[in-house]
Amino acid sequence: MKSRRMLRFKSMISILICAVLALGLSSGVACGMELGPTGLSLSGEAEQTVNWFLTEGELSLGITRYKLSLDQDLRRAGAGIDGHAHVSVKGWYNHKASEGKWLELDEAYADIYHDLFDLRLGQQLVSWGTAYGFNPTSYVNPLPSMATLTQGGLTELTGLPVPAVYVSAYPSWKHMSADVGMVLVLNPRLQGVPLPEEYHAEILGGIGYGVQAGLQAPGAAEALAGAMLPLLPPEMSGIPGIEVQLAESIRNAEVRLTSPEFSAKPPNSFTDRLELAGRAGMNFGMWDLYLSGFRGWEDTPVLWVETVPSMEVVPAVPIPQLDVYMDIYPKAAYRKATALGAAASGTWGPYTFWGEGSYTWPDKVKELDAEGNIAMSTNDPYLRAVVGADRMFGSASEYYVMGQYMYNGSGSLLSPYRMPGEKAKAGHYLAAVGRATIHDDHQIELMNICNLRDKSGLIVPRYTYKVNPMLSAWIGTTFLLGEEATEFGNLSISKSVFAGAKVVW
Amino acid sequence: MNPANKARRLSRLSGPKIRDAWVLLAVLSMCILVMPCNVHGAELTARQILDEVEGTALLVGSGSAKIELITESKRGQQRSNTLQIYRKTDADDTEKQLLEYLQPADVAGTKLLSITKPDGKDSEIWLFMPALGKERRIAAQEMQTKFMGTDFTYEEISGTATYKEDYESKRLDDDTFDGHKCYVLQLTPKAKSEYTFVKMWVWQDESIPVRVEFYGRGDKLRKSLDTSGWKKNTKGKWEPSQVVMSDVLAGTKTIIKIMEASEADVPDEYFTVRYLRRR
Repeated sequence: MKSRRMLRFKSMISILICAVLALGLSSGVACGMELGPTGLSLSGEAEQTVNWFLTEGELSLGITRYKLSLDQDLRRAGAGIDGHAHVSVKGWYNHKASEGKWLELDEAYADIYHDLFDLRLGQQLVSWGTAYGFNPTSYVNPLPSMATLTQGGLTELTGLPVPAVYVSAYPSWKHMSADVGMVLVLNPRLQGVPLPEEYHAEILGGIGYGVQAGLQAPGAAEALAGAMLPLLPPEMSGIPGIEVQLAESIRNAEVRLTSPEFSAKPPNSFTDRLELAGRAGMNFGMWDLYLSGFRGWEDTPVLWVETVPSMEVVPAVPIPQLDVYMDIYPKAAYRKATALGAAASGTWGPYTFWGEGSYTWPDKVKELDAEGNIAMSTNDPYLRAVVGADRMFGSASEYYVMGQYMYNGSGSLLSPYRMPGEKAKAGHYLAAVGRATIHDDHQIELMNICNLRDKSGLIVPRYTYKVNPMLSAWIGTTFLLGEEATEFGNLSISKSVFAGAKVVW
Repeated sequence: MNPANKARRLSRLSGPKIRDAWVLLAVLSMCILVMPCNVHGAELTARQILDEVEGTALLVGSGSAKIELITESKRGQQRSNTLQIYRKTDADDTEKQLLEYLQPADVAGTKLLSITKPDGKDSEIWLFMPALGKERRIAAQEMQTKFMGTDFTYEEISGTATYKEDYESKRLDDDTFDGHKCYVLQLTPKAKSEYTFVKMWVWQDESIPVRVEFYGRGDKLRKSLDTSGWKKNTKGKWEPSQVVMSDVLAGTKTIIKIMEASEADVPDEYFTVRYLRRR
């Protein structure tokens, strides 16, 4: 009872914070507000969503989000240099999951503009790449979750900021100019296993079931018995028929899960955590071309399961009894990788085209290839690529269409893992967005993303009404394409109606 | 370069968030910074008056302006955007323009950079969206009749130079408008146009067009363009503080308020992707 009250309290508090920010601070403020004579600017936003889950028939508050930002021109503040300082904090609360963060640092950095270079120091986003949402060459910031796609966020996806030093320079000669940037990440934002907790248990349970089934396969128990026979006490190994009994015990082995979930430790030392990314770009007529590279950590850990047989000998007559156990150890580890990539964008007639790709060589984790281990990740290098185009049309450019093909050599967009025994398959996806804006106030948007391999996908229509320059409200729904036992069909939010309101000031 | 052609190219980037900026530029080039001149009304022909009116277009060369652009619906509902505009013309006639949205908050920080070559080919346009933290190239768009969904057509924003070239001009009886003694010109298009004729009121003392009326089929008034709040800037040039285009048939308005204008040279670095990325 107490915990329920506490949850309700937290939920109310988050809504109150949101309401205060939305109504209190926004009153009479069209765009931020200047504080003091130095031009310190305060701005913010607050958002509340509501979801109606069609399969459960449940109406629930979705997520409360709020954000505050401070901006300061350094020269105006008397710093004596050209530059800018920015700090933003944010909070969120997921009412359905009863989890959230009241306040966390979003971005906090200082820009210094020098004749020869621009420097950004602090917690920041480094947005590289030319595509929408899926950017294989945006190495530095991990994406929060591809699940945001379900509410039409394909064109609004941004990563999570990391502490870094970003130096960019723009050398030029004659009529040519280049764009060179180097990023040193001081502390990568490594993500946990991007699977819900219940999935961990489900996967491990499935593995346990698979191990048990595997032991029933003809010859499997006998082979394992042959391998375990030398482990028997010397006085038992000579007993006639012991190998047959051992095989029988193995067939009846108890599968024991040593941990309910996968968990990985991040690297400890400061130097080991560092990441380096670089990019060089040039303009060729109506096209921009960027080449880039990265050496650092993959956002999510690799997973595997170790199965260790053990045996207990119970004294009995005429021969001792053998109890065999199969212990399952879920293992996870972060690994480093090296990636090279290229990105281009350009225009042709009324169309804008883009293409982007990277090839990644992960450092080998020997346990993934070890005999007897069940791996959900591989040591194979992988390619990720995307190509797309968009255009605007209409008498006031009020219509917009975009199409984008995405290739993910490491598998699914939603999960970097494959099930044990599952053959590694590259993911092929197609995304499309259509949008019509009527009198600036009304926007109808249709977003679609589909997995070309399992023919599943989502269609997300959304209507947004701009009540005034600060307040917008929207309503939409998600339709599932294909069977439920498919990649997108498994998303719980795939069958819901959603609505929300956002205040920006 | 013909301002209409410029506007067509610029309008390509558009999207509802940014289209208004181009309207402003076009109107500014049509109406602002008209040079004062001395004319002797009685003897002047319609053509001579138009020659005087042509003056200098807005921000030819280098300059900047801060403006508020308001669109008003038939029901009187207004939408306001505040923009900062920088412009520069290089020695080789390459035109560079940078627009930055200052308000409202949902588009604040959005920047639009265009670099237009003298031959009009290979115009480069980038849009910087602060929420994404990166710029995007924007493609050209087919020329549309209505300029970015506002009350302006390309023809209207092409400025008086187009009237001189594309219209037959006739002087009507002088009139008084808004307290100013005005020449009144009737301009009839030489080629097929959506307007049957245009009437222009030109302030006699300063050769400034203070009102333009656009007539359509059946000689019905379709739209009117009014400028007001004229004042001299520090260089002695006349600037209106407000420009209003009213669509009489649709009942809509586009209002442009010039908050600040400067002809001070804008540094080259403003017209770079590097500057787009800066906050």
